[in-house]
Amino acid sequence: MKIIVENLRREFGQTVAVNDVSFQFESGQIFGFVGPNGAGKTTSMRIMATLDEPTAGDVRLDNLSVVEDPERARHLIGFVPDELRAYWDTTVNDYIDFFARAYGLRGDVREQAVLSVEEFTNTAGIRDKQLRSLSKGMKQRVSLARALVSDPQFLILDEPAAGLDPRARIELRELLVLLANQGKAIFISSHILAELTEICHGAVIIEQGRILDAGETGSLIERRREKLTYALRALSDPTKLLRDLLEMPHVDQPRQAGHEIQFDVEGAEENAFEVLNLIIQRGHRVIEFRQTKANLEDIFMNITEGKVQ
Amino acid sequence: MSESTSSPSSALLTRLLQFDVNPVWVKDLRQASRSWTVTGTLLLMLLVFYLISLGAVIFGEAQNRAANYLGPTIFGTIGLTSLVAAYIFIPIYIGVRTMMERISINADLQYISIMSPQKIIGGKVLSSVYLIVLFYSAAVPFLVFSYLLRGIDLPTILLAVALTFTLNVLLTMGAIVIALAPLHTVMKILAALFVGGNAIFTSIWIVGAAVAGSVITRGLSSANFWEEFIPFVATYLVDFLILAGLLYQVAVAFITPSSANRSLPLRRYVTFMSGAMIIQFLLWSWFEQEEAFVIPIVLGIGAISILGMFFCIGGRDDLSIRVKRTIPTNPFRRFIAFFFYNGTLSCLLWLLILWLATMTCLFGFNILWDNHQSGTFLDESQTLNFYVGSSLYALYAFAYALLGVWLHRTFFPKRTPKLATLFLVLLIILPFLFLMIFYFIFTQKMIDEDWVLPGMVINVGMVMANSNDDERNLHLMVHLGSALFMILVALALNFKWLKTQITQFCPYERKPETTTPLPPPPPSTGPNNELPPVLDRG
Repeated sequence: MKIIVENLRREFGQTVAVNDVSFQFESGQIFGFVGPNGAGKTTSMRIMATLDEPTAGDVRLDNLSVVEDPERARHLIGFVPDELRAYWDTTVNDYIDFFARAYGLRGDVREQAVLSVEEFTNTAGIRDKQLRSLSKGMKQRVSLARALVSDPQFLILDEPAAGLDPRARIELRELLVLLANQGKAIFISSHILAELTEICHGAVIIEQGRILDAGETGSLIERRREKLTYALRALSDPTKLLRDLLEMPHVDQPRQAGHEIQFDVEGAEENAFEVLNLIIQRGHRVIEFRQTKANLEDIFMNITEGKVQ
Repeated sequence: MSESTSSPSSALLTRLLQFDVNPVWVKDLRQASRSWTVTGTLLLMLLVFYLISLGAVIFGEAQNRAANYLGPTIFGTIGLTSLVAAYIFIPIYIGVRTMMERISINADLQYISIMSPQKIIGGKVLSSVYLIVLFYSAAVPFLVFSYLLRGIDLPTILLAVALTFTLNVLLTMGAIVIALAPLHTVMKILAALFVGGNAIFTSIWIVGAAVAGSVITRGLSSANFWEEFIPFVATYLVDFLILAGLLYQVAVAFITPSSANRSLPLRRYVTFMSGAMIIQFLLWSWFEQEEAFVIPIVLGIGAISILGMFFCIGGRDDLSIRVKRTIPTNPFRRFIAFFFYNGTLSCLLWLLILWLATMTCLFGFNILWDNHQSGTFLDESQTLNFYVGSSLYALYAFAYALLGVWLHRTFFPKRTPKLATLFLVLLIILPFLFLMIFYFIFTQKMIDEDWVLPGMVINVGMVMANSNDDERNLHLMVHLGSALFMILVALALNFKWLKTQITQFCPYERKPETTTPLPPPPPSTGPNNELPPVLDRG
């Protein structure tokens, strides 16, 4: 299945929350949605989930329009909002069971579906607990279970990792990778960009309702990277090494990062080779020299200005 | 055998075998049963019943038993207690829950499940009814106890409970409508306080009058039991069903996406309801030989037409692609469909036609009455007041609505269309208010029925109260001319918009590049629904 977002626009009175947003990705891919607060991420996701209607534009799941045919599109979509609405007086099992019923699952099929998602999301042990008594992490699991109970082909997750502890984040990441491997298209927004880099096939960067860049993560990083960053470990005085680096051509912003020295090298990789030669020539005993990997965080900081609407 | 090749009977059998109760009903009842609010209120109510019964038996026996007053006393007190508890608690409980589910950004995800709006509202109504039954069943043993103490008969108890129950259902449905209305939370609370509060007190008053005023007892023992009491009860039941249907349709329309043709079921229902209302009251009027029975028709349909105009101009006036796809290609069917599909102009015209059709029916009835009944339907002096005077409200509302639309589209096109409704209200109030204040400042007198102020609908009521027939009729004709003139001006100002509204009502033609077939529905509801494998945490 191909998810195509076409010229999406959403106005709230005079404010344009989403302005001409277009991108696409497909089944089996995890796509990240990155942007500062107030960039239009949640609005876009709500439109994609049929919770809101765009002022203009469309979201297509293959040829099925989310705007024209939301009822049919809902068969294919699972939405995990940033916060699980605390249903009063409802247990985890009742909550998931209700949504299984709401998606037309009946009898044994429904019971099996509820059991499966509870086990998959590791919520079987808390099935009789009331929703309001759950921790943030557990609520996110329940929310994911609810979204998965109808076996949607397209999963939209709005800030699912917000407020989760490291362990819960790693587990959520594992779940998402598993789901993508099963052929589901996953669209996820998050502020924890380093994690997105690890699991996302691609990303959409948005600010003030407009897309700044979009594409596969690798090409996005390549396209946007102006400088290469290198890390160096040497058996010599770090202060002298930093002073020497400052005098070398192509080197920018040498700094100490823990046990290593990091610096940016302008231009092509040949320049890095030249810098390494100069370091050795000046008598520094180098034991490690490597290029650090850029991630979405670097790209995000590089191209956004932190503006909000 | 595949479903497509199976016979209708086997398809029906499959559906019956797969029958599942409404999910919203199940969810709401599960929540209610776990709610301390519901359980606590019920327990408190039972305690009060117990104390009332005990107190009545201990303290009231000596003086009342001989006079057979103890039964009615207990029945009245318990009835009133349960009435107040159920009439206030249940609508508030259901209304608040429903409102919380619809709060803007966190809208409950059940509204984007594959359940239809009808199913969601149906579930909500069913769970409300169940809750009402639960409350009443708590009161039943005590009411039966009052029967055992004599002084009140079983049919009276049953009819009183039925009346109380049906009014409670209407109140709860009204609470659902207010909770789902596309209004700000503060407005909803205000609406609940004023409209809901009035409805609750009116309902309590109706039940009080029917039980304490012995209307039911007298009706049951009346000599005209079959001629009057049974038709009266039947009419009440029909009206209850009609009103419940209206509230249901309004609630469904509120949660249906604006891209869908949500006007169609609602307008179809209101048209049917208006027809049923006209027939019912004309029959009563004819057989009871009482002209006053037509007043509910004028007030009811008049209120629907005028208030409808207030609301319909505050909505979306363009047609979504999904609505356009359902527009009939046959010109005649398309013409009829225009009045029932989404759109501001179509709604205004439909409401105006509804009013004019009502007046036409009444005029026809008037002729029939004058020819076949003894006496005339209306005094000659009142004819113009009845037909023109009442129609002026609808005509002025139509003109103001068109002007409101024009003001919004001309000066604030990017702002919410709700501004058009605000302009309508201001156009009605402000000119009259200013004139009245200035006149009072300069003359120290109030504007009275001798004045005719063309273009000001508030003045119509004063004109209608004028006791001088000739003067009144002349004033009414001036108002009629002014209303028609205003309509013409408003139509001319809105010419471009009118053209767009009419031309956009044509069947949707798909662009060539989007003609690829839609994917088949996913197998999520089928028996082979495959779920993700269990995550191995070892």
